[in-house]
Amino acid sequence: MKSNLFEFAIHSLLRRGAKNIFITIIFTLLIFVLSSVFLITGALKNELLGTLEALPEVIVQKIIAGKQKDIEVQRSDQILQIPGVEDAIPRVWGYYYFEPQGANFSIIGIELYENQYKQVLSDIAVQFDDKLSSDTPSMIIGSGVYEALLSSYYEDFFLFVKPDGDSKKVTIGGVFKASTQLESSDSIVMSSELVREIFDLDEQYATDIVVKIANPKEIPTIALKINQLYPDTRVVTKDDIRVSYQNIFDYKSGIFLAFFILAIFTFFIIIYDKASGLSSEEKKEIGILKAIGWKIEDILNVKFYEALIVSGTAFIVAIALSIAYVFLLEAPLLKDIFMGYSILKPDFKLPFTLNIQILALIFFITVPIYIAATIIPSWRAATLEANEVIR
Amino acid sequence: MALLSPFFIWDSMKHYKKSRIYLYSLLSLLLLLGGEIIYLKSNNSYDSEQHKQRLAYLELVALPDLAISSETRSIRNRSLSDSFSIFNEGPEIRDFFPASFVYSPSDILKKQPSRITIEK
Repeated sequence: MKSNLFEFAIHSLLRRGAKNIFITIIFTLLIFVLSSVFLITGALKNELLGTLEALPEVIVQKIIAGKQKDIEVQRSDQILQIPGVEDAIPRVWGYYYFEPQGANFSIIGIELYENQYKQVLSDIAVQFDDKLSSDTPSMIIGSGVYEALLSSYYEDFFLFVKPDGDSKKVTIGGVFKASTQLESSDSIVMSSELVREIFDLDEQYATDIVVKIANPKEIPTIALKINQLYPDTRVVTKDDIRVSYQNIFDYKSGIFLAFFILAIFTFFIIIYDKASGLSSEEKKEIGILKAIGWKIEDILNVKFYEALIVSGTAFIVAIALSIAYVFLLEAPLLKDIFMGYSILKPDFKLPFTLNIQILALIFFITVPIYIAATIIPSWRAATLEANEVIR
Repeated sequence: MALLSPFFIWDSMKHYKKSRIYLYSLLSLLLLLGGEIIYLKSNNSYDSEQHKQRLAYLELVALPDLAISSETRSIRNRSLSDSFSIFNEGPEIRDFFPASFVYSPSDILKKQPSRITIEK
C-alpha cells in the first residue's frame, strides 16, 4: 500500500508539473547559495585552523598610548627566565608599501644564514642559485610579490626605498612554492639585518617577541607572568588567534547571511502562502479522496511523500551543484566576498572539506520546514468532512 | 546500439512504475554526489607533503592569517592588530579599503582607489 501511495504522490506532482518544477528550482537555488557560502567559509576556516599548530604559542607586543611600538630586544632574555618558556625570539617584520601595485608586502626577517633555516628554505622555496652570491643581499619572495615585481620590470632584484630616501638593492634569491601560496603570496623573507636596514630599526629593538612554550597547559600562566613582568605589553596567545579567526569568518559570512535573509524570507512567504491555504483544486482532490474512502493517514502520507520528493531532490541536487561550484569551479563571484578585492590575489585552490554538521544544519532549516508547510494545511483539509471540503 | 537509443529507453521506461524511475534517478544522483566527493577528496585536498611545507613556512615566519588581501595592513595579520591602533591599522575600523569589504569601490567615479589618497 505504501509503495502505491508513493506512486500516487509522484503522479500527483506530475499533474501540477510546471508549478512543482518551479518550486523545486527555486528551492534548489536557495539551498545552493546557502551551502556554497558555508562550504567556502568552512574551507578557508579549515585552512587557517589547520596551520594554527605551527604558530608560536605566545606573541608579545609592546603597546604605548594604544599603539604598537618596537619592543626592547633584551626583554626576550628576561622572558626566557620564566620557567616553562622554551624559547623567546625577538622578531623583525613589517609592511612595505609597493606603490605601483598599491599593495603591502609583508617583510619578515629571519636569521637567514643559520643552517636550520637554510634547510627549511630549500624545502619550501624554489631557489635561483645562479642569481645568488654570498656577498649580495638576497630575499625569498611569495609568488604574488614575484608577479607584482615582474609587472614593474624587476626581474632579478628590487630596490627598496629606505626611510631616509636612499635605495637598497636586494636580489631575488627564490620564490616560495605553490603549496604555501595561501600563506606566502605577499611575503618577503630576508635576513634580519637587511630588514633592520630597510625599516631603519635600531639593533636594540624588535617588532615583537615570539615565545615558544612546550606545555600547552602552561600558556595562560606564562602569558600572565609576561604581562606582570612587562605591564606595557599585549600578550597574544594562540587561543586569541583562534578566536580572531572565528570572528573574521563569522563577520564575513554574517554580512552575506544578512543579505541572504531577504531571500530566505521571500521563500518563507511562498511557503506561508502555501501553508495558509491549499488551492481549491487541491482541497477538492482531498475531499474526493476522503469521499472514496481514503483515511486521513493515507492522505497525509501522500502529501508527505510529495513534499519529501520536492525538498529532498532539491537538497541533493543543490549540494551536488554547490560542491562542484565551490571546489571544481573555484566559486567564481562568491569567493571574492571572502577574499576581498585584493591586489596580490593568491591563485589558490580551495582545499576540499565537507562538514557534515553544516550540511545537517542546512538540511534542517530547509527540508522539514517545507514538509511541515505542505502537511499542516493538508491535515487541516483532511480532518474536515468530505462534503464540506468539496463544497 | 538500438538498445541505447532514446526511443527504446523511453519505450521501456513506460513499462516501469514512475516511482521506480524516480528512485533510480535519485540513486544515480546520489552516486554522482558520492563520485564527486571521492574525486575531490583524492584531487583537491592537500597531500601530507604540501601540508608539511605550509607548516614549515609558518614555523619559519611565525605570522598568522592568510595572504588573501594586501592593500591594507589591518587585514593582513589582523589577528595581531589591536582595537586602539591608529586609524588604518585596526580591523575594527569602519571599512574603507576595498579589500576589507564586500563591495569594490567604483572605478568609474575615481580611477585611483581610496588607499592611494590615504597612504600619501
